[in-house]
Amino acid sequence: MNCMSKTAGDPERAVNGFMSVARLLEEPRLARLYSHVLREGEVTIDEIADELDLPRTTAYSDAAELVDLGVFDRDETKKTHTYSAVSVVLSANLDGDEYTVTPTLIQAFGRSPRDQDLDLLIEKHGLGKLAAALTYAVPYANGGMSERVATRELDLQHAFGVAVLQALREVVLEMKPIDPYFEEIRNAREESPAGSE
Amino acid sequence: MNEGFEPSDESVAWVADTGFFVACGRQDNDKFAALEQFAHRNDITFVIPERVYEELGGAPDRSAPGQTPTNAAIDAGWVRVADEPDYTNPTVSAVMDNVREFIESKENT
Repeated sequence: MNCMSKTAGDPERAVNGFMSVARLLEEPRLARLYSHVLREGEVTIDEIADELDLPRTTAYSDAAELVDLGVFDRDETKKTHTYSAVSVVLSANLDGDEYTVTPTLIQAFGRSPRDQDLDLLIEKHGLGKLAAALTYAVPYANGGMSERVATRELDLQHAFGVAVLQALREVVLEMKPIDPYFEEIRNAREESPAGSE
Repeated sequence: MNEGFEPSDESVAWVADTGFFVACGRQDNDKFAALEQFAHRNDITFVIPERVYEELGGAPDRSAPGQTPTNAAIDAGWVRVADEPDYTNPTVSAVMDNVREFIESKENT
């Protein structure tokens, strides 16, 4: 199993996968745990608790929830069970408005409690704005779009918008080599000719 | 606190972009404190345009740029807000025209 949306023709799996991603995007602690394990490969509960500075009981119950959601695999053949992450990619289409959620958005959300600018963005404008900002952070991180164009199109106060882009730039650079579906994230520069300088 | 543009003055560093102070103000102000230390150690004043000052000041209270102590830095003297450019100065108007032409040529490509 490597991707929850690639098995065409299985509506049950598609809807369950949708619910799993929605859960990851609801609780930043789960999102952070998910992207940590995706980055690390195979980890034990002790390693998770240690590296994320979580109580062992929390690490255990969170990991168990992610196994139930189908986004973690648990290897029970070893004496100490290990966990690994299943790469998720989910395309949502609402009346023609489309967005593909990949682990990069999950990581951005998971980071939000420890980044005041991402936290404030979500509190004031919602998760959708974080997803939209990510589509600008992708070209911004590789030098293809200026801060001024991006913050104007995102309709954010300039200095705040720049802070958000700088926060997301770190996420983009960190996730690019880890997220197998990175190329599927929308790139604001490629779709909006008005956005080019 | 304002004075004219003096490009050869080595005690002054012009910062034309808001992003520099935003970057220094993020993550517990560590870099902002380092910037202040750098300014003192090298006897440098950072000069920012009025526009950059207004953009920093207009950030939401709970955002990192909204909490970056720009005003304290101005009071302490290591950051200064520049005068508006004097457009009657021929050098100023020539530079402005060149910049405007440059931006227009880039926008049309």
